[in-house]
Amino acid sequence: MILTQYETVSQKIFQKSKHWSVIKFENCVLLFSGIFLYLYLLLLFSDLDKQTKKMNAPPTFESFLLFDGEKKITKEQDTKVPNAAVFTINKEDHTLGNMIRQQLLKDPNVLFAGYKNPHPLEHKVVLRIQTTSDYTPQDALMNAITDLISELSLFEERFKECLKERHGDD
Amino acid sequence: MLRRPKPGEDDLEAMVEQFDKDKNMQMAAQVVKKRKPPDETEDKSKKPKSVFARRRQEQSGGLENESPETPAVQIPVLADIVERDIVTLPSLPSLSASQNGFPQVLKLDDITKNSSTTIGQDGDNRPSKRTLFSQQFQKMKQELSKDVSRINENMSSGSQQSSTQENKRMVENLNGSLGDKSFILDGTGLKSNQEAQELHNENINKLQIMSETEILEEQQKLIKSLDPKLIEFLTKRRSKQSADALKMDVDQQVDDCENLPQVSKNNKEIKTVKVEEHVDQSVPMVAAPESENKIELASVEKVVEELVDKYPNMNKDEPEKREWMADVPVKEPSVGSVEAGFSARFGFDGILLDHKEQPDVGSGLYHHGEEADRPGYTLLELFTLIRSSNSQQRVVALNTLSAILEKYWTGIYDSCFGVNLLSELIECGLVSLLRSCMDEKEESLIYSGTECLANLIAPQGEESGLDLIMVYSLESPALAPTIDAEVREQEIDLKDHELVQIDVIAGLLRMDILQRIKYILTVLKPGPGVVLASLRILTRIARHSAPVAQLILDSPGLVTAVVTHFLPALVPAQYPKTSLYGLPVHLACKLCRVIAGWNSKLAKRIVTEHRIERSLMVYLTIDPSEAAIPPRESILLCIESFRTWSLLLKYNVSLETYNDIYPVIMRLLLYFVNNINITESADKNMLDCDVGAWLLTVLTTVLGSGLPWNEVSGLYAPVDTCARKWLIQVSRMTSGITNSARSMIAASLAFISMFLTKIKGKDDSLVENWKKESGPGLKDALNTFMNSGMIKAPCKLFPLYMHFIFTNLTFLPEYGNQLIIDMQNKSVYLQPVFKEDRTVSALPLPGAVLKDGVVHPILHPSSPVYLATQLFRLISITASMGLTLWPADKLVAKLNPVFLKSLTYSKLSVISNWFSKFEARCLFWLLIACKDSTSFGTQLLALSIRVCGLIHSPDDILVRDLLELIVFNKSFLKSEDLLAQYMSRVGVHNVQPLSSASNIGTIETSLVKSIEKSLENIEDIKKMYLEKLLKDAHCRHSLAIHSCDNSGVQIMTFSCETVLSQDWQYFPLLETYSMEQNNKKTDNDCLPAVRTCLSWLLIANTSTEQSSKADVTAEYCRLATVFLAGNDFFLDPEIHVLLSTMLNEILSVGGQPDMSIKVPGISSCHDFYIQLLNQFQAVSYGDQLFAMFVCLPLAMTQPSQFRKSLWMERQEVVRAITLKNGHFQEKIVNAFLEPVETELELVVAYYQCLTLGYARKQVQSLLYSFAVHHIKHFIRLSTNDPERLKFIQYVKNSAKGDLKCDLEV
Repeated sequence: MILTQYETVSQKIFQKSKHWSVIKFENCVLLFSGIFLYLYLLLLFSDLDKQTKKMNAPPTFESFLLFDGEKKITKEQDTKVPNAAVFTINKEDHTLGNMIRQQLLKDPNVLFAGYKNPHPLEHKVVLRIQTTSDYTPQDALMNAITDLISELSLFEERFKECLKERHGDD
Repeated sequence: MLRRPKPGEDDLEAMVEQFDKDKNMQMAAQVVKKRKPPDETEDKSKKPKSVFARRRQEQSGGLENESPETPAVQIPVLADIVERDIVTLPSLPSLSASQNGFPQVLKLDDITKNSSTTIGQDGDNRPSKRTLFSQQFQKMKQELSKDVSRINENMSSGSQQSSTQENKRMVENLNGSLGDKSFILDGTGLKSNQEAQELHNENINKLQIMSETEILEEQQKLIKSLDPKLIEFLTKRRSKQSADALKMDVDQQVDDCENLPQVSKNNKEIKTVKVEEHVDQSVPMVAAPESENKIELASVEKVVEELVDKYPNMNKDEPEKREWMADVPVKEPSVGSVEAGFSARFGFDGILLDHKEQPDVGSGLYHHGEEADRPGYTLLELFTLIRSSNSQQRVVALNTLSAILEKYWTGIYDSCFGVNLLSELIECGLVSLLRSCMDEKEESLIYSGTECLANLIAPQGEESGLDLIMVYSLESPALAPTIDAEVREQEIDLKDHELVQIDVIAGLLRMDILQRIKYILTVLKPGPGVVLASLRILTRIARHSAPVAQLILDSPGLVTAVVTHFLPALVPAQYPKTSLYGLPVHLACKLCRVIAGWNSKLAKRIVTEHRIERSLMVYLTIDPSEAAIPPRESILLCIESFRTWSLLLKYNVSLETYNDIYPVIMRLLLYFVNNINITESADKNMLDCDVGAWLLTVLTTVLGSGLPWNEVSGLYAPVDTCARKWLIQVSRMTSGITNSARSMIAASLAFISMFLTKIKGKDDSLVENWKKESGPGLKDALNTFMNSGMIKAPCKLFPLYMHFIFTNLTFLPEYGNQLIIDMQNKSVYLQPVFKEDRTVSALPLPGAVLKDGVVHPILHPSSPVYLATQLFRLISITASMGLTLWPADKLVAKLNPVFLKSLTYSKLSVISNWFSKFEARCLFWLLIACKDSTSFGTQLLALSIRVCGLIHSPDDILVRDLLELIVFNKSFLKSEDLLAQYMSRVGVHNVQPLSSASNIGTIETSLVKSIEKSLENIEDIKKMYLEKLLKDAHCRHSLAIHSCDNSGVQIMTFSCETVLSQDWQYFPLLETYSMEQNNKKTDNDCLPAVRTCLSWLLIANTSTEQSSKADVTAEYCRLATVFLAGNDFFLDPEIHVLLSTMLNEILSVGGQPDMSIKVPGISSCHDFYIQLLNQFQAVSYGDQLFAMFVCLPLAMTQPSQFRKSLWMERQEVVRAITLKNGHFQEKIVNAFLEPVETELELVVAYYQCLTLGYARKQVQSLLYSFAVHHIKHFIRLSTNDPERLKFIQYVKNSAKGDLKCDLEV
């Protein structure tokens, strides 16, 4: 109810005052009251939002914010398998894991690359890399990441170019 | 003016005074009677008097006229009430005035004679169609009607004149076709026929005005808008009407010629013929129903004819009203109906009626339900009748239903119905219906209701089965349905009928059944039927769970009422049949026993609050020949009180009663020693044997009580004498012995076993004494027994089951076949049946009746299981004391190989049944008795492993013994044997060794080494399994029960579950797997457990060629859980070796697993495989063993969805599978190649993988050759499908290099 009222009020204002110079005093009062109302509602809803979140689910930031002292990435040498390492990347999910895995698999010196999200509520991926003997898993990962970055920047550049062409056409 | 009174009473008093003074005060309102006073004259002219009224008037002699008119005075509403002066009222004709009880019946003849003149003269030609009343009416209106008809004529003629010539012709047609009167309107609902005629004329006039096309149009409109049934009715009515008219004509003639009987007879004949002719000619369109009518006419006509002119208002024949008198319609069975099934119809005795057979009509089962051609009542109809307001109908329906249920529980209807009868009944709300019947006041209804409810929840067969088995062991089953914890929580919110569908007993309790039964028993005091049924219901409710049993005990006055009324502490002098109050009833005793059976707390309460032991002592010594109680009831009572007493003693409750009754017991025992012989005829000592068995059971229980040893040790000598005497008697017998006698011998052996266990724990000197004094005698007796007919002529003397355990017959093929069939009948585990589908989860039962009415073998009258159990037990206990009663070697040598083999390897059934636990015990003692034998082979070991999974829940200690003494006993596991056995099963296959992803590189699977290593670790294995499988508390309680240490016994009611699951050997694997699934990190802690589990599985692996595909699949899945249970387990070299060995074994012995089979414990094989694939993709490092597990479901014999999930959805995984063809045996590789793939999308995916380089010839050679093979064959298949052609063309164009060569394009 309140929201729709607010909408109609603001619509009125904007319809009447397409040019700011025409704003009358009354409209000013209406505008400001509208803004206050909006802010108040925002506050109210954000509070409500918090309350509903509190019910069950863990806070959303847990999925992307590192805890104090938590490292983004850790490496563990796999002792049972030659030339293999297990990387644990915290606060990441399939978006990154799958991308890196695919990139690693393009490397002919990588014998095995696989990742796993151990549990949907644990925000981390565990990456396993095994390489040939003339190469370390860490190098493979670094190469994969640099390749990915350059590939992505190339993608960005191309995209911008396309956008420019498009604008040029217009 | 009235003023509002002030508070206080002064004002009120003043007003009252004023009111009394002023009598003429005006009322606030005045009541005026609005209804007009009856005006006699007007009334008379309006209403013609009925025939009855006229007659009454004649009889009373015109009294009515003399009666004074009531004065039409306005009476104030509240005047003084005065008694009415009844002298002036017209007196009713006194009853004595008429000769008969009823007024005289009007006969048509008299009336017609009186009024024949008027009717005869009537201008209308259909006088007799009218009612008597309308005749009179007619007479009055005669003149008026004449006028009307005249006007009508004028009108019709006028309209005719005004119409055109075309219309004129039409009118003639109309008159011809429609007739001069309406056939549909007969004036019965109208004032007179004249009015009908008017309407008819009006209709005709309307029709005349319309043209032909218009008429047809309107007709179509009407036909469309009206209900087709109505139209049919109208057409039918028209044809009938004409028939009726004819008949009435004849009737008139009959009436006229009343005094000429011969003529009238002729006329009648003519009439019937006429009617039929008419019907046939006029209505071809409704021929079918008319033909039915014809049959009906033929059969009923005669009766109708006789009746038709005798009574007033009976002369109108209404066929639809006498349809019920017709013959049962014959319905041609349609062809499809056999497959579609028939509705089940039952007779009053609960028998399902055959749909083909027609029982005689006199059975009273035909009715006008939906299928009038079939006799009997469907359940739906019975439900309708139960809801009827007529109590007789309800009683009949309830009795029928209860008879149906009684038959149902015997299992004879098991394969008769498409749906589960019981669940249907419960869903339809039978329980609440029955409960409401119990709320009625009529005893007959209460009786039928309780009886039906008792038959619903407490089938007789199951209950008597449980009673019978009590002598084997004092435990009883807990019969509560297993309900998920979630549903349990919501139970309070459920509606009654929803709760009943989950748990019948809980639903009944919610409906306050306990209170109602208490009311019925204490206030209504009904006859024996209701009492017995109520007790049955209570007993079943008490079997539900301990809290419910406690609820019964807590229910105010209920148990007290039962005990005071039905368990009096004296033997009655007389036994009236009309009431059970004040008489002992064995069911009441049983109720107490079942409640006490739950735990020692409830038992103590029963004893302290209700003092039942006094009654028990009275009943124990009952003599059926002397007591007034009927012999059957007295036997039941006696046995039941023994049962209850021994149960109480088992808890150490009411021990003092034993001391009280000790002299009696001793005398009884001596009587048995001196007088009871097995050889005597069965009938005579039936009761003696039963009592003997229970007496010995009581004594056995007493051994475990806390009584001083010197008090009980004296019992041994007489029992020992008895046992020896009976054993020798039996071995001399030539005919079979009764079940009771067998139980008695077994009970005596049980006593001896228990006695020996006790003295073993007490003092060595006692043991030595026994060995010297009693041992040899017992040994002799047993030897005589074992060498006697039991083995030599088994069939007669001893039931076959015994014979299956022991045999020395050589097996002729045909005899062997017969033997297997017999064996299936005797051993429950080898029953060819699966679980019956009679019961519902809401109402679990112990399961005495298996599918199709087969009684559980252990309840068979010739079942020797108890005796065999006690025999083996005695042999093994004495063997453990150092005295060999019967050498184990001899025992093993005589074991029946067929029996053992089928028990060890074939699929077992009916495992979780309550009654099966006794056979499991028997097998346990057999194995323990055999354990000292030198020829104890691997087969017995395999059997032991199996029996571990069969033993039921209070026998945890038996499982422990079996595991410790036999299964994990190093002396039975010899590496040479195992190796030889392994080799003989698996054979040597040339399989390329696998390379592990881990550091060790290629692993040489050294079988000898791994087996030896496993054997070295056997102690660890044992420790691990015992720790994981068994709980200490359970074992301790179980030990207390089995060693008869009564002070430790708390609970005597157990659920029907096995201690271990059937696949208990895999338990550590599955446990780790489920822990991993629930995200409990235990990688390193679980590693040893998985390792030991696998090494045990290697030793104990029981897979054989006999094992079915389902077993192989289950085993494959269980082994595959190792990969899912932890991320690194497969990297452990030891696990790697063990797993690969076992996989190899499965594949060579059992062949490929079949993934389309449903595996217990896994919801879907495909989901499981996806899980496996994901794990492989994430963590495998391309391990070849893992790859093998992943590859197996890709074979062409498996469903295609498995291939799709790898080749289409996870193509990168193909890269990691670096298997070669040589890693699999040839037959497995062939399974990958044949038959050829036919699904286009899969072949496309194969080709994609090849071109993308995921499957390369050198590295992923197995998958490469697999893909190439299928593409090669696919592109050579002839096809017209454009998609396929396009693909083939694409392959031919794009293939390059090696691929081109391999594809041969």
